[in-house]
Amino acid sequence: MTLRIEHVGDVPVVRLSGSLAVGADCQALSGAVEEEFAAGRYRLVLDLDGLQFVDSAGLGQIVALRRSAVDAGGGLVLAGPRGKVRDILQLTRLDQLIPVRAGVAEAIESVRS
Amino acid sequence: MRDDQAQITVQVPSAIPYLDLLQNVAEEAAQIAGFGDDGKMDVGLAVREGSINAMKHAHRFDPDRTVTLVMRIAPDVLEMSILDQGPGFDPSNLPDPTLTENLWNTSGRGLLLIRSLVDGLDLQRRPTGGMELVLTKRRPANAGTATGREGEL
Repeated sequence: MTLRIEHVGDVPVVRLSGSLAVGADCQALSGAVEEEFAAGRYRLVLDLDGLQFVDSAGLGQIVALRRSAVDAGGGLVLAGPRGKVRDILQLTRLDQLIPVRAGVAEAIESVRS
Repeated sequence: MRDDQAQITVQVPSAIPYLDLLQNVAEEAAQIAGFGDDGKMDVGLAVREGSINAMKHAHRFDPDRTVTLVMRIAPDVLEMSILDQGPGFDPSNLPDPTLTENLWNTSGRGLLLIRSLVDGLDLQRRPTGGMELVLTKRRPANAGTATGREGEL
């Protein structure tokens, strides 16, 4: 997995590509987002456009980060899941728990509202 | 034995780096069995999820306990057996992760994912201890001719 963070105003956009899987991938994502939380940025977007697969541990990591953000009064919105990743979010009904938007711009607007 | 029918066995310690190995073996076997890119990914992800369950829940990532993957390429199906050395469990007691009250859970989605990726799933206690997860996926209709040797024995 590769991870890159871009700040659009006050919203961190975490761009993931490749695979989000148990172990180092989840640790890298958690660590990066925790740094944003530590800086007081609790409203963030996960851009999944480049993500090709996610396993159950990766899903659990996303849920945990969403919970942390919400508990702190913020939010986490997913942007642009495609293919297998989009199918898995629907299958697990996590698209009912976590807002999903087609693109990053809509996701930023959603997480700010 | 035809060159598109085989049995491959891999035994690894319960440690995360070996998940990639098992996934790769599964995807390579799926390719030999005639699956395309999507099918290979399904097979690899199913084996990965089954192996995570074994390593995490059955073995608590104890590297002294091994997970065994047996891939059988049969004429019509690809069969994947994942065997652990844990205490075993009753799958009927597992909560449904798609229920609203369970959506916030950070684990428990592995079997749901696996079911969506394969055509058959059987989970049973082994007489010698541990659990065996047996997954099957029908081979593509044209798999037998993938090597151009259909009918050759």
